[in-house]
Amino acid sequence: MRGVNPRTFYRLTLGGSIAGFIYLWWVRTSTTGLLVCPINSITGYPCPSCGTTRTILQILSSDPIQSSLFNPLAYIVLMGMMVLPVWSILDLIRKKISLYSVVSNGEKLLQNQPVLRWALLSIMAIIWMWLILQNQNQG
Amino acid sequence: MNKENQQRVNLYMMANNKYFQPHQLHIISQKLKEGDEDLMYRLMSLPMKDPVLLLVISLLAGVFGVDRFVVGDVGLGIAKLLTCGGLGIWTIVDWFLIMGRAKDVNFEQVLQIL
Repeated sequence: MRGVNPRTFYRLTLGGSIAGFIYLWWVRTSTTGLLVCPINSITGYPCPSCGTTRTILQILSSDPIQSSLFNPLAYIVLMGMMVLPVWSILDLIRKKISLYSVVSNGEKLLQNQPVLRWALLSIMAIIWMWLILQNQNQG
Repeated sequence: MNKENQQRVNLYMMANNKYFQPHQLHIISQKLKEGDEDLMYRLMSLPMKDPVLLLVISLLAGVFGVDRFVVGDVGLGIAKLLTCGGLGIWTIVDWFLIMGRAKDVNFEQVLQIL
């Protein structure tokens, strides 16, 4: 991440992870249910991350293997939510910036290799199309 | 540097000051005046990201992380997309940050040839 110093990066990562957990806890305990994605309510089509909350909650509360695949990208988000805070705290304890370096080099790699960029974006587009088709079959 | 070139530099700065942060303008102007005409033409050939256009993109499609993709932060863009605009919060935050980011990206690009 160009232009972001390590301190801000770690604050954002930890803050974001904590916010994510609070959000999950809030959704689980609240009776009003999920905040619906604005795109979904306006257009009726799911955005690429639709169903992430539901999928994660189901993975955490029941058998992950049998969880129905609402959204495969949710696994990435879940892994991120588990790995990022732990890695950040480890870095802070050891006074290193390994996570920051990995992310920076990753961003640089994406900058310099258009093929990687397009590959990633295509994968996301394909998953999005699959999501839309799935929703159409059910709805 | 002769007067004609200095005028040219001033004209360039006036026409392009929206692409950079205020504190960066001085640096660019200095470097241009120290360099030759060639340098300025090379600068003019660089593609710049328009901060105002990015603000519009952020307002309209910020939830998808499109604004971040356009400024070149692909990793951040994907993270934004995966979290539905950071639960909406990141979307709103970027409405305020994206113009500054565009300007910084332009400046970084310019620094590479100055």
